[in-house]
Amino acid sequence: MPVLAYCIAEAQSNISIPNAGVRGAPIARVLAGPLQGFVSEFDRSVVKRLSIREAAMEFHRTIQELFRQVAVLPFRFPTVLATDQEILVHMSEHASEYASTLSRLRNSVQMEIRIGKNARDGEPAESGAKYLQQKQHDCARLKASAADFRQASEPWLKQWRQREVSHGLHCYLLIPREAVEQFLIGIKKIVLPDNQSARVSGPWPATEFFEVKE
Amino acid sequence: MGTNTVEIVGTDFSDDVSLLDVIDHVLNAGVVIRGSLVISLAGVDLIYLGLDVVLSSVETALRHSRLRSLEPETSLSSPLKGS
Repeated sequence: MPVLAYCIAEAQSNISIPNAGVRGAPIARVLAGPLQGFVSEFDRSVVKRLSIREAAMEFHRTIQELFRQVAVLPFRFPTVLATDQEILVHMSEHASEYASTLSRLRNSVQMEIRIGKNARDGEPAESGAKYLQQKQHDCARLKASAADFRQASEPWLKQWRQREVSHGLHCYLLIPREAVEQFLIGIKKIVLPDNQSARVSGPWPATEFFEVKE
Repeated sequence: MGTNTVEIVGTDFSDDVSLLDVIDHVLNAGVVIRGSLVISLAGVDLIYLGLDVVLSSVETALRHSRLRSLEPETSLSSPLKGS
């Protein structure tokens, strides 16, 4: 029977397994040395076109339920394997890599800050040169705001990554699990320039802070 | 300096923006298994076809989001209009 893979956690973790995953399918645990993986039977006939979005949300809910308890490495949705033996083989092949990553991230979570420039801001540029100057200026201001967030996060910050995107700047923070509340209080005080907005989300599994060799 | 404050959203689908984040995460973040393991399963392409639906939803939500950003004093965390 095909299985849908959810995530991997450390085997020694005492985890309460969610009752059901996508489409109410029971969650099963696959043990592979220092790791445990979570899968559910996948019946493709019940996943029809219009229910994919809902399936993605159920997938996320299942992972969050596990992630509330321990650090997890989620699989990208949808990772469907022919049998649970295949995930066992995969976990065994990557055991040391996954185990060291999970050990490193054991008490950490990822928070995200998306800083953007408000669409309603100023007149259109008169020329290409002015447009580029304006873009450079906007970019500098976004980076300045990111620096403010970083400074405000310093008491809890383990790692920081930021990435420029078409509409602004995405910042990823690795912080201790127990510091989330204090972190949110700390950064809530930041005041942004009039033409910017920022959205903070999390905690998420620390997907920006691990790289797995294929 | 202005008075714009930082908006905080959760990860529990309490609003549409959070839903957008969730979809972004499950599709774009996490461990990827490449090669014959996943591809060998006949019929899985059905799922990838279905992902078009998800991506279309994200694009629509983004469009709404951009339109809404033209409206001052509108919280991003409130439900999208017309959705």
